[in-house]
Amino acid sequence: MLLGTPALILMIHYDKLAQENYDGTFRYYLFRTSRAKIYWSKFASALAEIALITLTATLIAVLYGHFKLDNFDTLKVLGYSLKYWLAGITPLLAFSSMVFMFSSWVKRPFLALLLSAATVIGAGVIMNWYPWMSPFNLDYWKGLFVPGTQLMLNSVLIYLGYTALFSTLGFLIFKKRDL
Amino acid sequence: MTTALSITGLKKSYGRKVALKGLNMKVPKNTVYGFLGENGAGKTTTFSILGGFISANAGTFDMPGKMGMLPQDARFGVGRRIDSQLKILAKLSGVESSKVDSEIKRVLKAVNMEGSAKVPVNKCSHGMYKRIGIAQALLGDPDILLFDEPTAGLDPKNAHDIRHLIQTLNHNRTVVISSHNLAEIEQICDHVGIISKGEMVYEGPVEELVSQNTELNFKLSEMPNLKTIEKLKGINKASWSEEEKCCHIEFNHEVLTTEAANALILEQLLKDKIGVRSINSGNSLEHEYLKKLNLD
Amino acid sequence: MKAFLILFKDNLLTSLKSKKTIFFLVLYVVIFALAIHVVEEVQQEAIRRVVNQGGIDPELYRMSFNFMVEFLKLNSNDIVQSFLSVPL
Repeated sequence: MLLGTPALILMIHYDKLAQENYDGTFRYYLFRTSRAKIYWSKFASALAEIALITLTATLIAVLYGHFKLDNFDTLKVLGYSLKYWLAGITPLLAFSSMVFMFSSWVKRPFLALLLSAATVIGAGVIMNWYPWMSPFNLDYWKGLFVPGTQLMLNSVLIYLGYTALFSTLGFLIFKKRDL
Repeated sequence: MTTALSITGLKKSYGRKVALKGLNMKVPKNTVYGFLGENGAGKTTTFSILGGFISANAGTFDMPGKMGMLPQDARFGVGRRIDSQLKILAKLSGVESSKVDSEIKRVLKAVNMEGSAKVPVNKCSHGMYKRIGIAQALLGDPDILLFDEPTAGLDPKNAHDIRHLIQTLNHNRTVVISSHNLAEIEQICDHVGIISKGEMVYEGPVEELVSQNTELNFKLSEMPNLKTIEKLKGINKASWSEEEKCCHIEFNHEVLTTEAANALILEQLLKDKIGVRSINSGNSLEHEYLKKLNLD
Repeated sequence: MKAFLILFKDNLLTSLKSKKTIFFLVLYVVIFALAIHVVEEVQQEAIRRVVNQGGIDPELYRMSFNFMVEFLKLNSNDIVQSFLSVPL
């Protein structure tokens, strides 16, 4: 799961900006609207997409449990699942922001994928020496699954911090670069 | 003169390579303005700055009206249909939601593509792609249109159609075209700006540029006596191309008008009993263009 | 703001309709279903142990969800074994 989630994000988002930059598609938009609107609308829709995919998957899983598991309290499980989903999407937002940053930096989509993958692996390696710096820190992840605790709040804040950092860097790059 | 676009001291460098060295440009309102220059002269860089694709290092531009643009090397969203792509661009151009469909019909009709709205853009030929590019530029009825190489890579028929289309667009609207095709510019533009190495070297009406012409070409049955022709008053130089069977004559515009030079040389040729097949006045815009760039 | 909303809606709809997104959605659902399948095994054991509680204890569900997270790192047998080692 730890590697699967970033991998999913990488595959979905790596070409979001880079492909349109490579194809020059942005040029049809740039003389009509601002870079800020282009970037943040892409970013927001990418996050919404990830949230919708995981929500759909969660709901399907609950439905599966409803029909498949004995003594399955569907309403209670649904409540829990939605809470986990809300907390659980925060690392996905952080990874999305990171991929977005690379996608706005490099022009070739494949290079954005490579850089993002290298960073994910790098973050995994960093965890051995500086766990607090790595989004893979298990404490952050575990916190997400303990609703209503300080641990969860800390985890959510940390991932939102990563999101703000990467998305802002991505925007600054996108704003300055030639398109 | 009211200007639709005014550029002052525009500078842009890519690392050590200087693309624009302080470009000045004034495009009169409601004209078709040809923006000429060699490869790498700075035409696309200028358009890119105007379109917001890149930022200038220095300088300003003023474009009071609404702009439409055909950018170079730009592709539409992969897998999208023409109408879906135009719909989003129309909305961004400020077209009201209720009028988007009729606006798309209008621009597609303008480029003769009424029946192609549902075609995916990646299934379009190069010619169709250019037309859609022009169609999207027309969305929202802009006051000024910038076309970067609108006929580049098109076959003669498609290029002709696009030229014809551009000529029809110039009603209460300014059109700026960058092109390498001088015959095209001469045919459809009334103003011209010549850029060389990032600087404007000439700007003014095409007619004015061409009227400075001081050359005549006579296609003849045989080589005339060049020395006799050069002795005529106001004639500077006469040369002969055996391959083209053509006598190239340069004259002094301050002494002779084009018509007077024509008459003078014809008289001499008739006296020498040399058959005249055709006469034309130099290479017009092409020749003047090369002269401005010091390439002639 | 209007331009932002126009672009947001267009980007989202275009992305959701793309083959790539649909593929990953299906993949994600399959992973979840697989994980649930493991939970099913775990829950059977949990139910057997907490016969008198009637229904699933939220705390147990939380634990089984955590096992789901572990699932992709371990194999299902490890999960069942580790669940069985949880003192009740």
